[in-house]
Amino acid sequence: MKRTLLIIAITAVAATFAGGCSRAFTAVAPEGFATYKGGESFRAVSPGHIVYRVRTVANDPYAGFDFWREALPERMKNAGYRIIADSVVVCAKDKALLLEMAAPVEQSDYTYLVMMMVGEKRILIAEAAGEFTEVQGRKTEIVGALLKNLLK
Amino acid sequence: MRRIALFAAGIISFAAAQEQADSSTANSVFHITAGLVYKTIDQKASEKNISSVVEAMGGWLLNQTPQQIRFRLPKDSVDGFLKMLDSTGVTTDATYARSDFTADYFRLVAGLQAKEYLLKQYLAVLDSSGTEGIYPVSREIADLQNSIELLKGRMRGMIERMEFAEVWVSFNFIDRRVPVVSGNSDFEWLNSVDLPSLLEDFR
Repeated sequence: MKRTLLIIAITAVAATFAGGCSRAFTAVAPEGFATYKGGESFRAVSPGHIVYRVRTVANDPYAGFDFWREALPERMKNAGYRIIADSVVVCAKDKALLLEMAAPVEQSDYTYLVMMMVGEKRILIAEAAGEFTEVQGRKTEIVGALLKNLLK
Repeated sequence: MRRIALFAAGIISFAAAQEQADSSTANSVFHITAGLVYKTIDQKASEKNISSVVEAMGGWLLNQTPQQIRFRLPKDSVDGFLKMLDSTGVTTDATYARSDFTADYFRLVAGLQAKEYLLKQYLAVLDSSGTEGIYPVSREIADLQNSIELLKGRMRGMIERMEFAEVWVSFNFIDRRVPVVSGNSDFEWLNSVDLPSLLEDFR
């Protein structure tokens, strides 16, 4: 009996993890995107192959928003991305950094959008990328969705 | 002897022009080249728009391929053109170069002046020469006229480059190096923010 209860409990926990309920964030996909189930990160994709991912990383070494707000664009620039826009927006009382970048991928030119929100223990990173014209055509809804993702 | 005298006159004229070039920094001669990587949703419409704006600004197309448009634009219109582009699309890369060719320009002016002076002298000699001297003098005159025309042609090209900037607009990245995957930040998590890894996560 005890063994049966234990198996049921383990199955329930596994199902919770697979469903993404254990994630340290709440994620929203842009309208019309198909979402993947399970996994540590939240993933979605559009019919035009725009990819969308939300995840968190440990805030380690610990630093506040202002620190990471400077460090992230610097690292992206050094890695070879062209930064098109760099802005700080407030969503649900927290500051978020929104970066719009561009980079070549094989024969195409891609737009790469990154939203970063800094919490005490975790940092939320929401990313979207796709061929330039595809992303520009749906930019408003993608940016809108990026800014709805929140740390729990 | 007469030829040496004429040659000396040419050198004096060149030296005078060089002096003039050195003293006139305000009259520096520049050629402007600007290049842009311009991203737009509708490339065909943008190409048409660029062509009509260039024409309206007094410029002209040099060549056009599916990837790039190259044209000349009055120097003073370049800033206005770049602002127009910013309002209709996204400029991801921009290069701007200003080459100084003041010395070349004044060297050309001096060369032309010297040759014109020589021609004048030869024409005077031709007037006073007898029948046996006509052939060599007229050959010299023909050679001089030929080189004067060549210099004038070069000068017209230089003046055009002086007054018109050369601008190219590319619709795709010229530098197609993919950003580095791992990055080189000391903060480990920052290196995980990269496009190739994001795309790989969906394969």
